[in-house]
Amino acid sequence: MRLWKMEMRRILGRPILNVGLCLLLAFLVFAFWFDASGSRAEIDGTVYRGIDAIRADRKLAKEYEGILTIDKINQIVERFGFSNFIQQEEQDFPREREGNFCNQWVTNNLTDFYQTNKKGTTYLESERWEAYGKHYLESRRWEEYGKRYLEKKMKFGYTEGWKYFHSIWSWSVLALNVWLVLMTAPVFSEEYGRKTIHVLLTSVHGKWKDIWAKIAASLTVGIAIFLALTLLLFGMTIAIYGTDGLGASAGMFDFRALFGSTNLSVGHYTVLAFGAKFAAVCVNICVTLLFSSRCRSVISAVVVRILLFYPLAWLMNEVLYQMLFDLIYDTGAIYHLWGWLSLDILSILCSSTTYYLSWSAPIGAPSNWAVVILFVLLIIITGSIWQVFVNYRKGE
Amino acid sequence: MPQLRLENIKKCYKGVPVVKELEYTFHQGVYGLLGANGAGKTTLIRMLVGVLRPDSGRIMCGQQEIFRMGGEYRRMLGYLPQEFGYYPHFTVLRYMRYLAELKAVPPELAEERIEELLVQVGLIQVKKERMKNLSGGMLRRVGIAQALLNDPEILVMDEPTAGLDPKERIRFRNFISALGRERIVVISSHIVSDIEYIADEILLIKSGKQVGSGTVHQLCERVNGKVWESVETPESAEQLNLQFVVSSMKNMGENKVCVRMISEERPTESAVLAEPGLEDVFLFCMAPEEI
Repeated sequence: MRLWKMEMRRILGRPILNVGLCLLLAFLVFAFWFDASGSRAEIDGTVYRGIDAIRADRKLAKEYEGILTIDKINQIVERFGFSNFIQQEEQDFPREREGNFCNQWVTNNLTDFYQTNKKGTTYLESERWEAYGKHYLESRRWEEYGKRYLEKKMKFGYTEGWKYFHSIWSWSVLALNVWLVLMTAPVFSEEYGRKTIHVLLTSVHGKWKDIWAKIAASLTVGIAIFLALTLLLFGMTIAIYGTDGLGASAGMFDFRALFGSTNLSVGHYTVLAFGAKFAAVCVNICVTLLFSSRCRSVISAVVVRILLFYPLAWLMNEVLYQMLFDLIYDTGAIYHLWGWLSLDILSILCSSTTYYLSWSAPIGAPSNWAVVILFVLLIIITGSIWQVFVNYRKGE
Repeated sequence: MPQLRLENIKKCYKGVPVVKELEYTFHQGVYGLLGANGAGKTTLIRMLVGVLRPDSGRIMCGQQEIFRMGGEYRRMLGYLPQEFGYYPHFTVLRYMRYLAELKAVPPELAEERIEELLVQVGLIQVKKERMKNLSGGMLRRVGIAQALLNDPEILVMDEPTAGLDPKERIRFRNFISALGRERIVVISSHIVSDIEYIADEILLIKSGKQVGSGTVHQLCERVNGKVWESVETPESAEQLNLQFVVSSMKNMGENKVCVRMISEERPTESAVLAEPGLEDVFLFCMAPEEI
């Protein structure tokens, strides 16, 4: 216990990096405040701003709460119309939207607003798909999206706060993971660099208990800060936006939550996202420690880990996947089990990287992948810890 | 008190043998490992402390192989490496506390032990100083103190006097002599005078091989009748330096140089036999490759 405390004190004893973390937390508070204070809601001719706008939106959304139906959608459109940007002449970029939470949601998700950047005039229809087919990822069509909201019996509710919460949470976990790389990369590599390793390895606890203490202290620091960060964001969300919308469908703001047979509530989605982000922190620390035990200098440990943190994940998902997909498609392997299997394996590996876990990527994966992803994560974590012992105990 | 026995140990780096078939037994007392730079002393020391595994052979502590003993062996061990690493932002006290914990010194005893050792090595006044502010000699003394934290039965020190000033070296020698009365102390150095004063027994190593061992007296016997001194002109002194193993050339003034050399036979007409010292033995044993 004493050794664990000592190792933790060593990890946290880097003032510059701690200032960095404080700045990150301050930025998050500012981002939340900035977003909330800029809210605008226009309901039945009255314009609300800031916290008042949020209160008014919450109250309004309660009127339409529950399973989303075409009747409710029509009621919203009849009452408020579709929403557009409010373009001020002196502004280069429009910043505010007409309307309120309800008609903005309908406009965003059920019209071609995102494709045209213009006020929708009608709900998306299948014909529209042809016009935007080349923008597959950005375009939305009724059969792919709008229809699913209704068929899935999606629960409508005020989810604006949760949307911001999840967005800022993902960014902050990503930033936290970079910070954790900087904090934990020196854990073992510093011992080589400072040439303290031989004294440590010849001490009674140096070859076993101290290695565990270093790993446990790194995980404790990472997990504790992750929990604190999550609580801070969660607390701010509840303080500003309330608990409204926890029972609504997460598909309101993340379409992945409506894939397959799932129709996750925001609460359920948040729990899954917590699991994914928690795993991101654990995997990140264990893999960083692995490089720390392998590299002879702190700088090389940081550089190698950062390179693997984003570029490798990006290459796997954006380049390798596409190449493999094309190859499998061109060779006809797409019609065979192994063809699909190799794509699935690559997707699972991508979903298990720190970068994509920080974005809660496994939520979008088929539910039967969950066990496989958990298994892969377990292998990465235990394998990394095992290798840390092997590398560090070699000493030379 | 355990014995430490090297049983035919060998170690290679990238196929190049660094330690070759070494056999030796350490009992209670101070042992000096003497060899030129690159002779394999540090590799041998690292094997002794369990950081490196020999490619073949065994290192036995009593009846057990040290790598099988694991923590039990390390509990008996104190080690000062050649390059003593430290954490610059740690205070001396924090560093000692950290290592006391790693060395499983009970917390209730640790504070007292740390104070006692810092007094012994003369660092009590700077115990709250950050290590980055200490001089090289002070850091070396911290290294010596940490090696003694767990009151080890086997104390291994690699070049312990490097960086110490003459006064500190003398103090260190006396300190080590006292320690050697109740434990095995193995000291490696290429500074002959340090070993000569401290060690009860000396192990001479050349290219990873043991080329001699024994007390200073026993080793000096090997060169008895082979150490000569002769007063020469500078030119002939230079000539002798090329022909023989010369251990010193001292200017006498008036264009005369006193040359001390090792030779089986009288090297010059004017040469007279001199009392051999450990330095002469060292040069004699290392000669073929050094010249």
